[in-house]
Amino acid sequence: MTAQQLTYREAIVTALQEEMRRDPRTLIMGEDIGPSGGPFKTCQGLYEEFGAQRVRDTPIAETGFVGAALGLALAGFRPIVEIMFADFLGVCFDQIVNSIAKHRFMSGGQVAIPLVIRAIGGGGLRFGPQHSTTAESWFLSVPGLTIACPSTAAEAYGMLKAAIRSDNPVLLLEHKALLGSKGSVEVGPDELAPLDGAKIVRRGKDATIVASLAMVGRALAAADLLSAEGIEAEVIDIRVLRTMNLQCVFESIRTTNLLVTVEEQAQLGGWGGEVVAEVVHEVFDYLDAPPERICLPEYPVPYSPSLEDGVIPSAERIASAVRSLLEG
Amino acid sequence: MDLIVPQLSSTMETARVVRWLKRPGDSVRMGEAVVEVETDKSTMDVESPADGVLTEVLVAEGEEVAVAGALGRLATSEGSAPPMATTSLPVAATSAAVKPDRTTRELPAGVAGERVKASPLARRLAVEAGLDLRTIRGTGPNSRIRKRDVLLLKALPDGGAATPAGAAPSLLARPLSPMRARIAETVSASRKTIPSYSLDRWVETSRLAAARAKIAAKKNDEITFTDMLLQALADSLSQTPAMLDRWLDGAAQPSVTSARSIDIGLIVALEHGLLIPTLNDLANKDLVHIAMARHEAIERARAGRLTARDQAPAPITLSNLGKSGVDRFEAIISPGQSSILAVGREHERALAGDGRLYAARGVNLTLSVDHRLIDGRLGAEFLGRLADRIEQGSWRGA
Repeated sequence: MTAQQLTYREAIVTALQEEMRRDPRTLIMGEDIGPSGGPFKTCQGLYEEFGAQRVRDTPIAETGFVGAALGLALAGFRPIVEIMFADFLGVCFDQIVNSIAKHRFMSGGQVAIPLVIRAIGGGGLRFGPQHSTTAESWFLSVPGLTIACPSTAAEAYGMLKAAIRSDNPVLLLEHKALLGSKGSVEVGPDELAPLDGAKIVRRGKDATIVASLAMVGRALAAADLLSAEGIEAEVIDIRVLRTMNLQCVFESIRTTNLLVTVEEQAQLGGWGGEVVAEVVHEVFDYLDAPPERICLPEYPVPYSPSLEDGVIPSAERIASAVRSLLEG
Repeated sequence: MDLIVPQLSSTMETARVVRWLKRPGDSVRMGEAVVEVETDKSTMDVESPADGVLTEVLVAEGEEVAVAGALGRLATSEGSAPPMATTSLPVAATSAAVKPDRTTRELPAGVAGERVKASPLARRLAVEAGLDLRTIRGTGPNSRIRKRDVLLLKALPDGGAATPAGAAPSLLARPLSPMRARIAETVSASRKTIPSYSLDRWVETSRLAAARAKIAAKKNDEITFTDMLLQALADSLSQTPAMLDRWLDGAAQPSVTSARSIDIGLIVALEHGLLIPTLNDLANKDLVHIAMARHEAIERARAGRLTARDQAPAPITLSNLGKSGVDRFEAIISPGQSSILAVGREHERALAGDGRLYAARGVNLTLSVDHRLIDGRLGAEFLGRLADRIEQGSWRGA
């Protein structure tokens, strides 16, 4: 309804507040999300407003509270869990892939699982190897999950609200380096962002860059660099990894004939490979060069600031990949 | 078993092999694309009629073969061994009198037998421009031919045919692209052989526009004016079966054939030419179905991937140049068809009725008809039905 300037973090808090006010069956659990408002302050003010019954601090035991959230969902509640670092999704992996994602299928569609798992991931903030993963690829092959990746405050707000209202489990991968980024957010009871489809965030005719999360901003910065040289890159935010809908990517390739994907994770098993496969399948005759994937190297995100800055794809690295596709 | 060239349209006489998708020795499954051929209408894949192994390539890339001619040989699992051409030749003839091996061609020195490396896009653009990939210098990695290399050559007046390095581009005549040559042949044949006449009718589209606005409000905005014309045309054809007759130039004497389904050709303008995919079986179809069939056929036409069904013979074609701003025009009947409907731009016009003047929206319809089969009165009756249908009919799927 009204456009507000919010940070990504404030957008998350606002979405949680609004949806918890809207539906008393909505609950949230996580580590340090009660009186302290969350380690990243993404639950600020919720405890004060909704109380300990609906805003519950949990022990450091993801398997337990994520499993409990499944039970709550089966019992008619609409639970939200916060995973402090997306890396910890590994702890409750079994609950997510073997129970949460499968219950609707295994019950013959009789039960809904209105459950949201918010996991705060990503590198760039000196958290070291065990606290910097985006975890994007970990759940790619799990039918039954929706995996959404907000790249802006507006997307974080709209996707989170849509996820809470979804009757199917949604894994919302938030990025901690984006928490302080500010943007215009359309705030209103029904300002939901669709949990489907990639989106063109900058128009261009010379090459297509598909990115997720913090890499969308880097891709846009790369497009600025290229634009100064007369190269117009089209930037697409992949937005939702599962289920993946790449219609706008196909349309883009028909114009640009060149594809670069940028993801903040290792190449093998990442979503970039799937994008390339789909593009080759759908618009093979429009490709003018082999697609390029920009990823993290084959080792974890290092703790050392200079090393960490070196592995995370930079705008210059993305721009240079586009240049070599055009010139190669 | 021979892999033969199917007859894909009434006007098709030959096919040119664009590209073999399988090599001798490759196993193929029934229905799998084996070779890409270019016909007088588009480029398409010829599929294997059975499971087996491709044993021999009889027509090299770039060569032509007549309809029903053999493209290659397959050894199928049923055990029919392929005829071995070489073993049947007299021994004495092997050096001097051997017939030319059809699998090899005169190639520029040094590149014979090498696979030409080109990006998928460059390959497609070269085929569309009628350029031989082997004559193009690739500037990509591993000398791969890229879009820019094809475009550079295409920009030269003679398609680069006579421009060795350093030579000034020739300003002489340049050859027609394959598509342009086909169009030239088709329209010339039409003008030479089809004695046609044209009928004009201005039809009011106010009701149609209102129905369309209603549809757009329901967010079915993919439904176009053309889709509504197609529905009206299909209904009018159903009511006037004589319009489904088509002329056949038989070997001995001409004859007439009647379609059993309502199939309509649609002119799709491309950057350097046009194609006419057939929209099949439109009788009683709703607008959503028609829109989808129209959309998919256009996509295939633009991608140069028309299927055999897209090339099924149709009695009539629709050509809508309304968006280009023309008031009216007479279109040329495709040989093998008996009429074509040309649609001009929607515009307002002052009409008189009940003793007063008023403004109304409408379009000019111009129906060109093959007089050998369809006389003026029938053509006029058909156009009248179509006009009534457009002005007063209701829309299925609206």
